[in-house]
Amino acid sequence: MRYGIRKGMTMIITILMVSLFVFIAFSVIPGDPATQMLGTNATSEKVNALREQMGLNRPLIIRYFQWVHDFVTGNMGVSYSYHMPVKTLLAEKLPITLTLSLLSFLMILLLSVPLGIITAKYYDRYFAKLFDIINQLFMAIPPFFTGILLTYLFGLLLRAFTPGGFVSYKSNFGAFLAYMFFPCLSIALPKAAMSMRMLKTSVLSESKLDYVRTAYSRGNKTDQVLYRHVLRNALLPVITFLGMTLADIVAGSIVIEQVFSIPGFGRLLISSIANRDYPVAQAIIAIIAGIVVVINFMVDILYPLIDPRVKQHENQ
Amino acid sequence: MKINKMNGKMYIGAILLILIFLFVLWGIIGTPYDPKAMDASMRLAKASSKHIMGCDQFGRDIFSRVLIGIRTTFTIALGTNLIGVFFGTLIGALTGYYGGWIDQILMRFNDAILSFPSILLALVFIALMGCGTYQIMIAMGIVFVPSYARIVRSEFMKCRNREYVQSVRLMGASDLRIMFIHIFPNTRQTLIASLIIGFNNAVLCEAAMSFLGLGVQPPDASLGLMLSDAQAFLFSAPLYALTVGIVMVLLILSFALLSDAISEVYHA
Repeated sequence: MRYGIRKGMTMIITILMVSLFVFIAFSVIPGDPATQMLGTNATSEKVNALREQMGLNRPLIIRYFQWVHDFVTGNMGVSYSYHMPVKTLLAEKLPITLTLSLLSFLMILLLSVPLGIITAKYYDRYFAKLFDIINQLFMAIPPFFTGILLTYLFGLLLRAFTPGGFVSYKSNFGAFLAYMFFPCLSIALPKAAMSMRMLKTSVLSESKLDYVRTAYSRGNKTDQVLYRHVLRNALLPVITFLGMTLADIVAGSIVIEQVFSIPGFGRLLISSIANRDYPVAQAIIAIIAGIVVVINFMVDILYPLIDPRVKQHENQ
Repeated sequence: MKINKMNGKMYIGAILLILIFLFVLWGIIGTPYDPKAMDASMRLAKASSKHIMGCDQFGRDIFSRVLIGIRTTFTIALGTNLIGVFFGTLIGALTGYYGGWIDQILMRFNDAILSFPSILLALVFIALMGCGTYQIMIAMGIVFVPSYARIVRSEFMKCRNREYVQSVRLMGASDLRIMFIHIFPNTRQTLIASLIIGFNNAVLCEAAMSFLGLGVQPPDASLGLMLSDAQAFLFSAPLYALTVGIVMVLLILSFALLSDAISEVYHA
């Protein structure tokens, strides 16, 4: 319990620091938001009135707390480009990016865990060595190039999907999920390769420890030792990595959305930065950063459930 | 690090890197064609003896642009890591050596920044400074500072109470001298390994940012920007994307293999 509270406090402090950083970063950007909203032809009286209304004349720290309050209560400002509330704009995009991230994560798990265990179990066989080489190659391919290769192979040559033919989840959920398959695969392949290698290395190094020899000497079979004893300990570094991966996927989806023309958070973020639509950019960055911090917290909480030594060590 | 400990990964990584470095030099000395010269008659021309990788949508020689692109990517990765290492070492050395409340505050802030995915943080700085080659170098450099600071800090914390440090302290050496003449050289092993990983990450991050149109701006060339251009012509000129992508993969692979090999040698 104490461990959880301490990690929770750390998470809150990190969220406050991250939000302060995001707020300050977007507050020091040259250019006046009131002028940007009204246009350069607006009179100075109008601009001043809007500045007053937006609270821009108040001290920075007061504006920060106001921003946090507004953000938590769902008031994220108005987009300069779309002239609509940022909240409404983001509400449509969030399910798309979340689906992309979660499906990619699921693919990473489905690919890396079984393959990692198999290649560790049969580490001296030729196929395991071949997997090592393939793995190394996949790790070096950036997700956006994987996306381009998949688009060419499955989209243009084999016609398994229509490149750029995104279907909204509102109109046809099945077609939406089908379109998401290849973008998710692009994100998942390099990460799955990394996590598979990590699991393999972790299982192999655990297998050399004394408790494994003891388990064998008590008459346990290979599978029993592997699944009951080794895997539980070997998974700890992998879970840390997967936690970091999930955070990376959320950020990595920004690029993949661009490759596959998916109208999610990423595309909106890029266009908002290019068009200097800062309320939108600020909100998206704050949300993604918040998601990342919460994921890190969840990974921290998960540790002691798998390895009680972590909790003991932390409490000392 | 002894030569006999070198493994296959080290050889392949080093050969690839030397090859790429030769291409960088080639790009500096001169390219076969002017990388910015357009020729409408050669639009999306296929590979031939004259243009070994073909021509892009403006009839520019792709091979010449790849040479310039590798040079740009390399320069940005180098600049990024220099900024990261310089400021990271400074912060890490001070916090690791002195400890105390400055260390606590700076490291909490450091951790908060590290919890940001690097591409997202780079985007924040790009929003602040605008797009362009120098902007992306500075943005990514700032992004890299916290991780270098953490690495150097932990090395300094390990060394600050060692006997050799206590000896020079007793001999009356100043803190700055102890930090940068005595302790800093002992961090080189960890720092070199981190630099290779940092270089790899910088190449990936630059490519992603330029691919998004927020890094290097046309008519300059970078591998990410070229790949982004090539994507639009994937059906009519697939080799354009393929060649640029393969060069990028080889660049990343060379650093990845080297970093793997070095960590294997250190942990052997």
